[in-house]
Amino acid sequence: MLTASAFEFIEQLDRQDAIPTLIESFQNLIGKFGMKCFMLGDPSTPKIQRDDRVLASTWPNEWMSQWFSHNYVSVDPVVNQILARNDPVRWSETRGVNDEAGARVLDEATEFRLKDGFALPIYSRDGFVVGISMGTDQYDLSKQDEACLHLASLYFHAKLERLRAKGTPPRRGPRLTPRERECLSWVAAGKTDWEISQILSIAEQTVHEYVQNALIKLNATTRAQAVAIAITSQLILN
Amino acid sequence: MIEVVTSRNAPLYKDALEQMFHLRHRIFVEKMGWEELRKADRLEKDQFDNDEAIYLLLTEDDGTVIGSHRLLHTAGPHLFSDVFPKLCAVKGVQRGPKILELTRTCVDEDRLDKAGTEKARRRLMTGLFEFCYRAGYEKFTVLTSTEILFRYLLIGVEIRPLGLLVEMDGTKQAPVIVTTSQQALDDVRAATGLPDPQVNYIGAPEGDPLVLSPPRMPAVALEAAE
Repeated sequence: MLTASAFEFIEQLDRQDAIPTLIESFQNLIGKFGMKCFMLGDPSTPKIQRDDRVLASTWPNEWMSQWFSHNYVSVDPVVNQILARNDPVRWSETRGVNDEAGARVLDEATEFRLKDGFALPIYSRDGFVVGISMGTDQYDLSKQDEACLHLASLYFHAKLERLRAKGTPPRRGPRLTPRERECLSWVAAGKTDWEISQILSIAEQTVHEYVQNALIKLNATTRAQAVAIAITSQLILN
Repeated sequence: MIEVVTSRNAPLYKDALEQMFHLRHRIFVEKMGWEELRKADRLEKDQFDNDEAIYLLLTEDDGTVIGSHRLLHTAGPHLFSDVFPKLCAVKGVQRGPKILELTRTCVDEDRLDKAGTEKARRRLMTGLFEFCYRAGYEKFTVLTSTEILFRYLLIGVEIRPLGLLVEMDGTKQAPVIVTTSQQALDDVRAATGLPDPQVNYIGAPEGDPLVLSPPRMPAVALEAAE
């Protein structure tokens, strides 16, 4: 029974101690639900490298390349929906009436035999949100199946974060938190603190604090300088 | 300091317990809107606030209660068995002499600022694991938010689902069972940055069934007597 598989997957996570086998076992699990591949990543921070955006993925390489080179993270209706509604979504339900750019993304996915899929937002550290999106050529999930995948995704993501934290060699140079980097990226894009607070739905004062923290960590006296340092250190993209 | 309160030492904590029931009313009824718990005297008590309940009270130096937990014995009636039996449908209701159910965890967010609230939550979490370990309980069950579930998992605490996620108060909640071993206590302490013992059980008569093993102190150099 599929529910039992999901729960067994979660229970054996304690024994997983390497990221590649962890990803493989999650891929196996979603395969039992008819899902062909998944992508777990950061859907919202603007202007970051692909390697920083993707936490784990088994999406077909060509689809990944296309998705990133066309910057689909900003037009993919699945991404927009999981960030806006904070709930799991089915890909086909995100097709909007007047959203041609979004429709194009969903249509192009079908060229890789990803005709439909299931995606959801997951809370990470400090109120930060990551997203997981899994695709299939035939969507057969019941509500219960979706609930199982949701639960398994939460545990999978947490385990992945734990293994990544344990395995990370100390990074040379300044480290920004996801929120600090996100806010600085919006500063680089020309946004004011107030505009950023609206984009991220947090208080303006909080935005100011994140940006100030980034300046301190980067040893910068002005925002322009902080942006320049962050770009050179490859913390944000030009 | 976190004070452990049972029916046996409750007479020492009359005022503190009343503060706790008031706090619970402010948080669960007035703030979160759980109208079915509303009481005319603004003391939030239900059928499980009986002689079997164990309370962990987080207090400020002057004795003001700023947070609390309620723990119930799973051998008897509790929320997962009696009020929300469907939540644990997949794995079944977990019962046993070494398993407690955690409910009514709250912090006085109105009184404390953001940093104070975070510190109070850490103390409550650490105190919970310390109490369970020292009192000989091996696990506790709880309905917890996905955010707290993530925090536990990141710390490395052994936590397993009992059922699927359920929607409550506009957020997703997870029915889970958490292991409270010495390793879990050490991991929680490392994560919350609170190495010192936080928990105190005083005033119970001799022969009390609840006994806390001595706290494990970090090795300290003793000052030479002058």
